[in-house]
Amino acid sequence: MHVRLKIPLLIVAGLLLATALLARTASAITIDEPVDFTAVQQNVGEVRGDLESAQCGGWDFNQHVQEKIPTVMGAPGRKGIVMDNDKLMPEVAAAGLAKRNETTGALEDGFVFPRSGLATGWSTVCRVNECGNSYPYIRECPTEPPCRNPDECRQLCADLNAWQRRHQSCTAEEWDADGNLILFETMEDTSPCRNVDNGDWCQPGDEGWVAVDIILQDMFPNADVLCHVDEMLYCCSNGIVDDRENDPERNCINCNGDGLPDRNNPGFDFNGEVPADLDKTGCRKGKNAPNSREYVSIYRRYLVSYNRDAVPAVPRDDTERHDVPVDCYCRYEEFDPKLRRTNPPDYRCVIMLEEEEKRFKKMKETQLGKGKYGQNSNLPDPAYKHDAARDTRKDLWVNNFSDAFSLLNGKKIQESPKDNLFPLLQLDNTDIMPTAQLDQGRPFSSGSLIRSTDDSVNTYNPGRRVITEWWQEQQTQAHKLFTSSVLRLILPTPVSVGLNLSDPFLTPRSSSSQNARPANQQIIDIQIRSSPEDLLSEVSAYLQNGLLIHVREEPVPLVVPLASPVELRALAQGWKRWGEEQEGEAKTKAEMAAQKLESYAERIDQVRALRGELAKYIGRLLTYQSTMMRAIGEWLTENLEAWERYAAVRQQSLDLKPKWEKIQQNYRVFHDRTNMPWCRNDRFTTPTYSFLDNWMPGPADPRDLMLNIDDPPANDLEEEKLPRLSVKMLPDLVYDFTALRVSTGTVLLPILTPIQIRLKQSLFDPPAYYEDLAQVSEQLEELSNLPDLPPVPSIYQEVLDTLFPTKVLHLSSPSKVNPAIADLPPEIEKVMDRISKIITEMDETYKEFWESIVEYPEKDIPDKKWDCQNLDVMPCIHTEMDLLERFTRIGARPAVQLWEDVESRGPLRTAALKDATAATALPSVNLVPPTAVPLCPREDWACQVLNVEKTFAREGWRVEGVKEDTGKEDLVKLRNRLRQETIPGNSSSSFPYTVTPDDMLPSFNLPSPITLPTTRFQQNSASP
Amino acid sequence: MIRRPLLLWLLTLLLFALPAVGLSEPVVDADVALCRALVEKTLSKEQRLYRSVLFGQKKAKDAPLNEVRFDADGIPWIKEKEDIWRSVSPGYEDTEWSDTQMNDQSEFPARKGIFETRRVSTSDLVPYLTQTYRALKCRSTIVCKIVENSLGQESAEPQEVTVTVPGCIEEKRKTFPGCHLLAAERSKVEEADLLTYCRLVRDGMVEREKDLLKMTTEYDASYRSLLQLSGQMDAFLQEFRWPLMNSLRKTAELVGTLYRIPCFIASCDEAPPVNAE
Repeated sequence: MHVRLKIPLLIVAGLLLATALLARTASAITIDEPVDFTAVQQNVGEVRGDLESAQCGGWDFNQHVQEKIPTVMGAPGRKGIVMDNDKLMPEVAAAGLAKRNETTGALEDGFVFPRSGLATGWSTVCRVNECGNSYPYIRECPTEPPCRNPDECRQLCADLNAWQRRHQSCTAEEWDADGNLILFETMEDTSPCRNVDNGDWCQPGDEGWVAVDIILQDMFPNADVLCHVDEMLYCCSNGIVDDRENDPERNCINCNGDGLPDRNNPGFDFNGEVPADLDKTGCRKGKNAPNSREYVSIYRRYLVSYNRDAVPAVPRDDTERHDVPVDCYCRYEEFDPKLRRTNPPDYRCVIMLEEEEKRFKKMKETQLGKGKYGQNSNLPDPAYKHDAARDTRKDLWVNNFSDAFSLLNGKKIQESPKDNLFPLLQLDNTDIMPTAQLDQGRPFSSGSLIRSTDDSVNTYNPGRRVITEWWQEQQTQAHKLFTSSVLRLILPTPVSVGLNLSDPFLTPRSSSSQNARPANQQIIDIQIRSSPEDLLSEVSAYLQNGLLIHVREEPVPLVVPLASPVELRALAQGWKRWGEEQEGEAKTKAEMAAQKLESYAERIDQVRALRGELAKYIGRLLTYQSTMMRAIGEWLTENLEAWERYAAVRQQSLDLKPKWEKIQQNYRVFHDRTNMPWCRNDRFTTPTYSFLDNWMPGPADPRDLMLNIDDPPANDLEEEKLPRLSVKMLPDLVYDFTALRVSTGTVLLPILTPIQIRLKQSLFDPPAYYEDLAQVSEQLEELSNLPDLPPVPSIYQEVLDTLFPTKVLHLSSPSKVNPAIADLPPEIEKVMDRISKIITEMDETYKEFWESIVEYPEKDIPDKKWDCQNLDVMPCIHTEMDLLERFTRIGARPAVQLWEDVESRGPLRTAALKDATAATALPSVNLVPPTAVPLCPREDWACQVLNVEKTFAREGWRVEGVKEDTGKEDLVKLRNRLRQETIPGNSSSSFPYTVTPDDMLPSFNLPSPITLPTTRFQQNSASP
Repeated sequence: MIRRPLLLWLLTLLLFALPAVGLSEPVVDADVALCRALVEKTLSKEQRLYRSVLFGQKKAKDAPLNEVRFDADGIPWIKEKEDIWRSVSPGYEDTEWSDTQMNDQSEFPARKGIFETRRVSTSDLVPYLTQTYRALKCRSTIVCKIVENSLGQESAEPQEVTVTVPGCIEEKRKTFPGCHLLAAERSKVEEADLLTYCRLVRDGMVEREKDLLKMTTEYDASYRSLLQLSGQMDAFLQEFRWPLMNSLRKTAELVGTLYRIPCFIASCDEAPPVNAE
């Protein structure tokens, strides 16, 4: 079985098999990352050297496969059909192995048997333990073979022929003196079976048999006893004993050749021989003995030869063997391995490689040779796209020499202004592109498509290869298990976040920009495979930083009186004192004055309340921040749970990874070592079904080669089914923040800046005690006209109502990760165990086969090396029914790809995706439900599938931050109001500040923002 | 604060209307407080002039809201809204001026300040800045000299005097009628006090403006240097970003591609072997 795995991106036209043989250690060369061009050259040299030292591989498309598949003679089995009119048959091309011939042969089932001379052996009619006394021969398959080596078999046969019976027909006659017959008695009897060599009787108690003549003589002592029939007969066949060595009807005779009459050729067997003329009897079908029993062969020796044409690329190609003896023991049983499983009792043949020249020890050296591997390819190297044709008149860099580098255009340098460094700063924009494998039209080499094949190819389902398809499907499923999902963080367009991406440092202009939108307007879609633990905290940190509100202080000037309440109260006291001295009108006026001063003193105290204004509304800002923080925190908490589930399930998957790696490793060992004892190519040999036993699951009889390959995969654990993984990929996590809009505006925070101005103290001075009303009446008059202290203005309500935004967060959270992530089903691990078992046993089966060919003959076993000690025990491990197929396998051609090898291929995956007709040729594409979504035809591919990408409608947070210019108008109104309220008028009834209103006004000046000059590359404006 | 024209009118009226009162001397409305106020007013105007020379004065319509400007009479006006200027002076409480009116009546014309000069380094500006400062010193000293001269005046009219300050241009100025204290009742102490006051205020203002000028020049110099640097940086980034970034990116890609040297075992999907064989 030659199962090869294909991965879509083989870089080299991948027909090279640098296989490691057992003699060398299997190691890929390791290449370090090159640090400079010399290192690159070194690496390339290493790779070349490795290719040169490869032992086999390569291709030779001038050679065809015809005549290079070995023709085997002298072994029973079935042949394979490869070509049809010199062309490869389509079903062979699809399957990779030959089409089994199931029409020729005597029974028209394809089975052929070698002719006499090539097939010899011994046939017997005796049955085991026939005598009941453990005679004539004791052992019988399936427990033990009757004879264990050719000599033993010959001896057994000779011993069998010693079992004879005596057949007598005697007459007793007596005459009187006259010569008259007075007595005439006949008696006829056959003795029981008896070994004439050692006198053993068949059954106990047989010893008592007395010969007829003796009986007669005893009965008629005077008579003449005459036996006219006194012959020995062979016990089992009733044949007459004449020449124990040569009688044609002995107990055990030679057999030769086929002997089964051909239906289409009456009178002859399939080899053209007359069954009756075969030397003694045919090994496949024995003649009938005189007692109508049929001769059955108990030992056959085949002399198998094969030959084929040589492959020229391999100079010492070993193409033939002659007369390799194969000994098969036990009774001949014919069956078709395709129809039923082979069991240990069916492994009964020994390939006798006793003679040195028939052995295969030297194949390792003789089969070395490789074909071409592209070393002399004339494809241009590599294929660039030549869109950028350089024009020597316009371009600074021109590349008229090659694609690899370009030179400065001297003319352009001369033309450019001398003081402009631009030409020298403008580096060359060499484009580096992925290279095609072959050329522009063939980006992928079709060599990567050669089909793997396996021994389950059969004629009922042409083109299907169950094990290959199954294995490749499991690879895809395992990839689904171990591929970590993508975490998509979709961020909003930069403008909405306040990032100015037109700044050239942040966004280099790409010459092949596919997006029509400018950089500022593209949504940023970041795909992250970072470790989950850090990511959420990073996201939340970003959000917290991004959502901070910008605050700007705006001074709001107002005039407040400055006076000392203590002093005012003292003045009031003074007025009261003076009032006490007066009477009448003067007294009342003095009282009023005192009261007024007292009220002033109270009001002054209230000025201090201005300090509390700020605190009243600044707390609102903190509320905004806390709302946002809380929202972020809640979102985080909700997602954390889902996150942990996700991480846990992922960890479960990763725990299974070493197991899977081991399975893959086992498979690799099978493919590269076990099934490659020397460089060989199994393609187009005949499928050998006995190699499928006993690792392929399924019923024993009749054999089912398709099993459950076309059923939906369901983590099957039944013994009779192929274990097929069914893995659900973890979904991608999408955090969609596109609707996020952080505040680009600033919150204007008005801060009261009081301008404290003294009161006109002189007005309040109380008069001296001796002054009378007339002197102070003017002052009193003025005092009484004084207005009250203006109330301390309060702005916080206005600020809260008008200046601050009322809503900051629009709570439509971004999508949450779906918390309902199912646990990894425990069957997955069990299925993997079953897969591991299957692969391991498959490896052992083939290993045993090759061991018997290559290693066993070289072993030093002095005694009974080539005996069949027991069935299914080295070296007695080959089935008889497909010896021909086995030798076809052994003699397969060396590992150089020929023309037809490449024809055995499947379609490119892209072709299957795009072209419906190509897709229908693949059976797995037509399955419902499909085995892989997206399409990954398991006939040829194992893919790493990714989750389907979805784009959502915008949802998510919106921070209704402060828009630009919010509150500016209201601020102006506030300022104006405060100015008008607190600057006193010019009349005498306005408040007695020491400073005139004209002098107060300049303090209300607000400095304007300064526009700093900028460079020509950026617009910059600093705020004050 | 009383406006000078009005005062003059009053004086004239007094002079003509009451000759028969027999006041052989004209009535001079001058006293210490008035003179002080005049001193402050004039000196502050000098400071504003100096500042406008340094930093410039915008047109009225370009001025931001809540900016205070003085008109030719020294009355402050505040820009309440677009195109509306108000004052709180007596008699002008309800007046509104538009931007054009403000421009016409402004005490200084709109001009570009020295610091607003572009494309020069600060060192080139320094001579002009120092000259402005010297002008401030000169003019403020002249103001105090005028006050000194006014103190000895008797008439009610402003007299023209020639003021000589060492190091400055000779100027012919009119005296301050409000400071003609010779005719008014005053004492020598008050006189000396006035002179001291003028000098103190002037010295303080000039000192402060000197320090401010130093600081402003330092800031200006550093900012202009930064501009030069950033201009070069921008040019560098502009010219280099595309080739630099692109070449770097492509190199990174290339190295990554090279690293994946193809393996020639039939399949390259293998995880490294579990045990090295």
